[in-house]
Amino acid sequence: MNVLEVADLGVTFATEDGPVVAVDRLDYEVREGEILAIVGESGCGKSVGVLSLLGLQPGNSTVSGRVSYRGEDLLTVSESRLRGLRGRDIAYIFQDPMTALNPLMTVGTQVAETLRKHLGMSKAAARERVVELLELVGIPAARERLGVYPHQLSGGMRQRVMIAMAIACDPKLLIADEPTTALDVTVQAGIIETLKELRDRLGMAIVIITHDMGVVADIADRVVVMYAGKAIESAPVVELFAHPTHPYTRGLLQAVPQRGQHATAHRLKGISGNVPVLRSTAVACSFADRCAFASDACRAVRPEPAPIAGAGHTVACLHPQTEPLLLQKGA
Amino acid sequence: MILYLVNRIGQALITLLLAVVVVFLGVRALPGDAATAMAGQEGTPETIDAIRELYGLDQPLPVQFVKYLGQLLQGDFGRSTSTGVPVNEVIARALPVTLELAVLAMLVAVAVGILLGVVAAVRQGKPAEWLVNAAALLGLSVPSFWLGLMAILLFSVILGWLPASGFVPFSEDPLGNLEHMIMPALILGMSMAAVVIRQTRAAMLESLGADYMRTAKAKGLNPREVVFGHGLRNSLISVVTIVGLQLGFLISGAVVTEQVFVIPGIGKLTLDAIFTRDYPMIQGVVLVVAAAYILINLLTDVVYSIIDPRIRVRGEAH
Amino acid sequence: MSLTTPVPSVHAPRSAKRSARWRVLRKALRTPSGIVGLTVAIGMVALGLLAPVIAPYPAEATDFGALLQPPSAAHLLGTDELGRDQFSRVLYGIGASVQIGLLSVLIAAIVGVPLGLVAGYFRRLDSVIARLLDVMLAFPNLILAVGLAAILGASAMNATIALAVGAVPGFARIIRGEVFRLRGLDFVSSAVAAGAGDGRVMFGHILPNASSALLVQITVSIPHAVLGEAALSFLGLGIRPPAPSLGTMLSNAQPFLQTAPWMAIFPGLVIIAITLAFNLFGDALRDALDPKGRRR
Repeated sequence: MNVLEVADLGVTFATEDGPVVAVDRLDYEVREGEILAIVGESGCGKSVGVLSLLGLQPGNSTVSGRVSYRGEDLLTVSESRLRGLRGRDIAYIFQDPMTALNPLMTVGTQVAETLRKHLGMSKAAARERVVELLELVGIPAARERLGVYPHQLSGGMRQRVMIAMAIACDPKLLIADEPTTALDVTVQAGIIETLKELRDRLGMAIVIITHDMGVVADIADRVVVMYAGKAIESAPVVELFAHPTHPYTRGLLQAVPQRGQHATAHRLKGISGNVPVLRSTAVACSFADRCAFASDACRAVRPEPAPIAGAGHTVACLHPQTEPLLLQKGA
Repeated sequence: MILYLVNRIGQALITLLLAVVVVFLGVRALPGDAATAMAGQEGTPETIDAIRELYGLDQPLPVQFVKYLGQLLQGDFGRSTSTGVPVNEVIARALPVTLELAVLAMLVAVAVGILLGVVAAVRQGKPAEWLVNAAALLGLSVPSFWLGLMAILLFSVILGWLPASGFVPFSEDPLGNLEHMIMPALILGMSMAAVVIRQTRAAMLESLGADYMRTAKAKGLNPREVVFGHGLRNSLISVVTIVGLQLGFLISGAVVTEQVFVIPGIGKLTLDAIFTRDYPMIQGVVLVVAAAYILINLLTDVVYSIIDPRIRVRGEAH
Repeated sequence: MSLTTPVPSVHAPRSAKRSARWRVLRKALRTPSGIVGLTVAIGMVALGLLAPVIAPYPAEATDFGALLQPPSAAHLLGTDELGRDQFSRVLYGIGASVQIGLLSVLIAAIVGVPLGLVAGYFRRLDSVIARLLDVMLAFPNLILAVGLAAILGASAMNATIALAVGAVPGFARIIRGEVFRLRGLDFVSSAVAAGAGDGRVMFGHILPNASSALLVQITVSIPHAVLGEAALSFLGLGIRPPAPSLGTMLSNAQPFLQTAPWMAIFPGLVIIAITLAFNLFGDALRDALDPKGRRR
């Protein structure tokens, strides 16, 4: 059973230099209790793609397509219905907990706000629940932390507060947008572990947005690889790491330095150039200009996702690569 | 927090002391003999001598200063040279009038300023923003005393709705008091509101783009809760600062407004004192105003530290 | 395509540097409010300077046959209680207003800029100067003018000084902020490393790069000073009657509000024209300097 089905999602920004297509006919679905990783370079439309699900995208953008949450099309429902879903059914965790938390509100108040809004809890009841939530996400001395302000906490603790806030109303779907990128390497693993535990205990589905293949390997059940606003390959995580097929995916995997270390500072090996800026829906393969295997056909036809050998594995490429990838990592 | 307060109060006291020195030296810098000047044109040699002795003007400056400071600390500001009434009594009568005007004007400025500033920021790019910006620009450009004259012309002379001038104490006639104060307070408040509007708008625009606003929206809060609950509070820090800075302007503005509407406050008192060359009175008034101003700045900083926990915890001046 | 491509100027680097410095001004003048503001401001200054040429009557000429006349062909803006031509007096008043406004801002800049430079450059002096500015701020403009008028007597000169003193902290703060912003930048560090003296670094390297911020501060200070002068003269602490000034014209008009409202209306509108023009231009400059619109 799918919690979320995204079909033909498009997001276009109106900029001073004309329209920019950030998300280009994107399809994916999230099953109940599943952790789906959406992976890609920065600037490939991952974040805005998930923000647009609940109308949180910036004001100068237009969204098209269908987003079905348990049978309800989120792109056509009223704003007040969206507000009812936000934080209650679908919750977000953002990249930088320093700026995503309100600097002038105590941690306790910020977490309690969601409870009071959606569950109509009294102040005292919300307070007790906040203590439980903070303990649940692994914040020690939770009761004493109720009255502290975000700047008094470490980055990892702040992100845990964000997580507590997100899971407060027991959402069906948690969307984590680069939840570990702004954190120290040593803290990242703890946050990933906490997210996995919460999924196991609460049974919610998680969509995690990341550019870090190491994070993907640690947490995901299934992976969607995005490039220039499109899903170019998707597969269960074991299958993807065993048989990466799209030249871009293979490039991403080769860029992973070593397990556990993160790849932000490393350039993609074998993939020169940057993600192109799209002015309109692509009619050819967007990756062709950076691809070693590109042919004339790649520049004439847009490859559509198609199933290949391997369970649940689809790829959008005219020249899928099947020989085993020689990864440099030792283990 | 306590450390911060002590530190901040210490700073205020130093500034106040410096202000006293400036006033003290200012009067001694009067052209010619201060005592002669103080006695005025009708001063006989006897009165000049009396004044010289009274103020200890024949003693060295440091001695004079210590004595002067001692008198000030006892609340002794000397006697008016034109009426002979103790200066502190006269000021005590005029001060509440000015305070009422200033407080009312500030309420107008803060209420109007924050409301319109938020509207301009939230309705960015819409006609409402343009209108508010135009109003703020006009507010900055129109002299408040001229606006006062025009208000008198319209509401008193032509329409006859409100009294053109004068003052009735609140304790004697509350309604009459408000009738006399509403126009001056609105006029004075409007010119200050312009600055508050601009600051609020700029601060709100900054807040609206902040990540925590998106978090608030993602929690399912409605636009009102997002803008006022999360955005405005963060904007208020810089609004409080600007309001504090504007209070000096408010004091100046009150002097002019009192002159336009013939209100017997500190401003009127000061001007009368200048034109009668009543030096003890001028000294007293200038000191009281400077002290009020320093106190206001202190309060601004305290309010600031209450709104912004980051300052409170660090315990240091910004 | 044309075959004659423009030959790059030999002086390109130099003009590029200069154009960067004036970029803010040129950017401001591309906006309607910048053009209108600057044009009207220059127009008002010109009117004030040319008052002796344009004015149909001498400023202080009384005509007891034409007291409190409403606007007419002979007296465009009417006459006052002494039969003086209001149009002529307004023209001379603009001159006085603009003169005091510009002069006081100039004095404030001359005092405030070095203060700000020193405060920002020598950290040890920073808190001393900050205290000094606090004391200056502890006496609101008008109270300062009151004190000066009390000590030295009311005059245009003392009003100018009072307004200048009131504007000094603004200049010092802006420049101090600019020093903090600029002193960390490479070109300043390299000048220091090359052995440039403190004075050379402050005035030769930092100040030129703070010129845009300075221009903005000057422009926004002028309408402030014009309003301040009008207020002081209105209170009898600035320009002394019978010399013409917009502020004194308004205080003159107060008793005649009912019988001769034109005496109050026109001088006020002229003050608004001056301040509005400078404020418009100042806003355009500020937006050009800081496109995000974080006005402070």
